[in-house]
Amino acid sequence: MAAFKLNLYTPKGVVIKDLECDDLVIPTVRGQINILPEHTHILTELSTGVMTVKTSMGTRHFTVTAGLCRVLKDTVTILAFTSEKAEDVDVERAKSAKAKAMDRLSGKEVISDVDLIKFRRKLERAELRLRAANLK
Amino acid sequence: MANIKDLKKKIKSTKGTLKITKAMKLVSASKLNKAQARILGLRPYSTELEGTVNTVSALAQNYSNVYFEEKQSKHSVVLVISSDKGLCGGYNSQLAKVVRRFAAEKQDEDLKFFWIGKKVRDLIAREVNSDKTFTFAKVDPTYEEIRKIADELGQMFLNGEVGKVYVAYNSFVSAIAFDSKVRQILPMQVETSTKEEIKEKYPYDFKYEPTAEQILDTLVPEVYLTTVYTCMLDAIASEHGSRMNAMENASKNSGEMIKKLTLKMNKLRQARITTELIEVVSGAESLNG
Repeated sequence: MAAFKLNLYTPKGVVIKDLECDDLVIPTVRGQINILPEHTHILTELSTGVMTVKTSMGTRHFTVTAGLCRVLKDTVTILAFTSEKAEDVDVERAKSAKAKAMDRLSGKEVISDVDLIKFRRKLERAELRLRAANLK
Repeated sequence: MANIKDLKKKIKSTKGTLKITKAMKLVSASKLNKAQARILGLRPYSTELEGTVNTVSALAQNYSNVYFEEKQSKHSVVLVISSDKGLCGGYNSQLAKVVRRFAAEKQDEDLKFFWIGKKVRDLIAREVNSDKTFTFAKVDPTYEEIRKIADELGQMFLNGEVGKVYVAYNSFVSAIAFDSKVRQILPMQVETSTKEEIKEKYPYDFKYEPTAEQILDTLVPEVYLTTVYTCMLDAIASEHGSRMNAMENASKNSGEMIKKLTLKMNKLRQARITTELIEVVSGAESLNG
């Protein structure tokens, strides 16, 4: 089966370069899409979520937060704001971060709007990490 | 003629300098490693992002964004990224030279200068219209801090307060080379020839999700931010590279200096011993005679 190439870049560094894969599921702003070899050229905005890559070596998961995905001539280039390999997720840390954020958002004490947004994002990120880690 | 005691003192102090320059070289080398990894990690992202925006804006018919529009205002701002510390060879002086030349070229624009790092500011602030200096909480700025600076300058552009935004910085080429340049970052420019080229390269269009305009609307500010961030990381990496080189040269020179001084001292000492010997011998001779 034909394969296509995958690149994943973030401002912090190159996560994947020229990885041969044959199945890719990415979260976009309009829902998940599945990319297979010989996909049409698309340009789409990513949303926050878990990306799944199937290669001949097995299936891998990555977290991505906001970005862009370009499919061109069997090369998929993903530009994500942040990205993490599922196997790199620190589950304990994510769990404690989630508990902390939940606690702050529980409404026990009054928090400012800025904090509200901050902790909602933290919660979202922690949940995303846990989801990716559980898929592993 | 210098006496042996003076020479000894000089050798000792040069040895002290050598120790310092060697240590600074090692520190810069390790900092350079980190900075280099950061800039090399960021570059693929920023080039891809810029390329994509150029492509999409060329393909999308009649797309216009405030970031692309030419403004009427004659005012321009220049952000000069230099270092806070010296002892880094030609890093700051070369940038100052380039900025000076740039200011002379753009006399018809009313340039206002913002600074990161005080070295170039101290060199040329009196010659130009100088404004605020940005500082960071730590030596290495975070992404957030850069974003604040970029937002502040971007806001001035979006308000129509200024017509152009430039960044003057040293671009990182390799550990031993950098390139001082001034780059226009706002309004973003896509040359008509590049546009034509892109159009020829992509006879088909992409399928956009949601729409090309919406994608560009979110991407263009991101490109602007990434550009500023890239300039900053470039500047940091070249600073460490330049300092490492300067210290390497300084260490080499002090080593040579120590060798020279030691040789001179030994010659002097030998001469003194010889004179003393002659004195003793001639004294003994005169007693015998």
